[in-house]
Amino acid sequence: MNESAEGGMTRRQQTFTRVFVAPRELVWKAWTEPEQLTCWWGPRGISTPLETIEVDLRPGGAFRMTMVSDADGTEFPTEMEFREVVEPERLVFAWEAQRGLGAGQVTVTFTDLGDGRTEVSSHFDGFTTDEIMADAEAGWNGQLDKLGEWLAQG
Amino acid sequence: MTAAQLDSVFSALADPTRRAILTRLANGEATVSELAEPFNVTLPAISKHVKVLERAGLVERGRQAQRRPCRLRPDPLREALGWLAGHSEFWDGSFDRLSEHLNAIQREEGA
Repeated sequence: MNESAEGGMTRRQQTFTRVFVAPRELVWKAWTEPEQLTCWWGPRGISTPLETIEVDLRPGGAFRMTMVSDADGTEFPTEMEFREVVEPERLVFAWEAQRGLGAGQVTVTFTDLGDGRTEVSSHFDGFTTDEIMADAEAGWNGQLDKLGEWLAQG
Repeated sequence: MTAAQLDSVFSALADPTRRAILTRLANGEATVSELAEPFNVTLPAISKHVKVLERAGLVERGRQAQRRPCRLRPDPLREALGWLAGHSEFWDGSFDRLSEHLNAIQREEGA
């Protein structure tokens, strides 16, 4: 991906890391078996029905699912493709622009911490419409936080 | 909130003076001249910023002919902030549930 903006979108990178108390092989399975993905994929308030999940675990293979809002049944079909499958260390999946989202990819790294725990790091690299994120990094987080606090009181 | 509305909110927010105006209005309503005080810019310039904020639905103006104070309209901002939080919400939510799921299957295996 190049650095330039794409269709009014800006490139953005973000990493989310979490340590799980489970051996790496188990965590890998949770990420790659539809029967397990259905138990956890998606933010709170969103379900991902098993019958909508397709995992073709090889580079170029499909990674698809439809997330459904618990509140009102709104469906969020998500069409992705695996780019790298290195069991049990790394998964890379990517998507084209869809549903108003920009193209992007996520690299998931599974690190065996050697004590029965596994660190999972999910690195997002893609285009988003939130052109103000660059601004946010330049330091208006404080303002945003203040506004956020104020909004929370409302 | 439609993509077009979201766009207008974000482009309204993509300016330091307009963000400062919103932060000021978070403390209470103010007239355009009151809003202009901390800035080294003309009243018409502030007026223009306020119009952009109004069009984005972030600010509304009172009806009194003389004062017409500006007020923050929180809902579009709340939605835009919610949209921004979406990405971390996705992973926070997913990772919480993955953690619960891994605990559950290990309990089953152990049992």
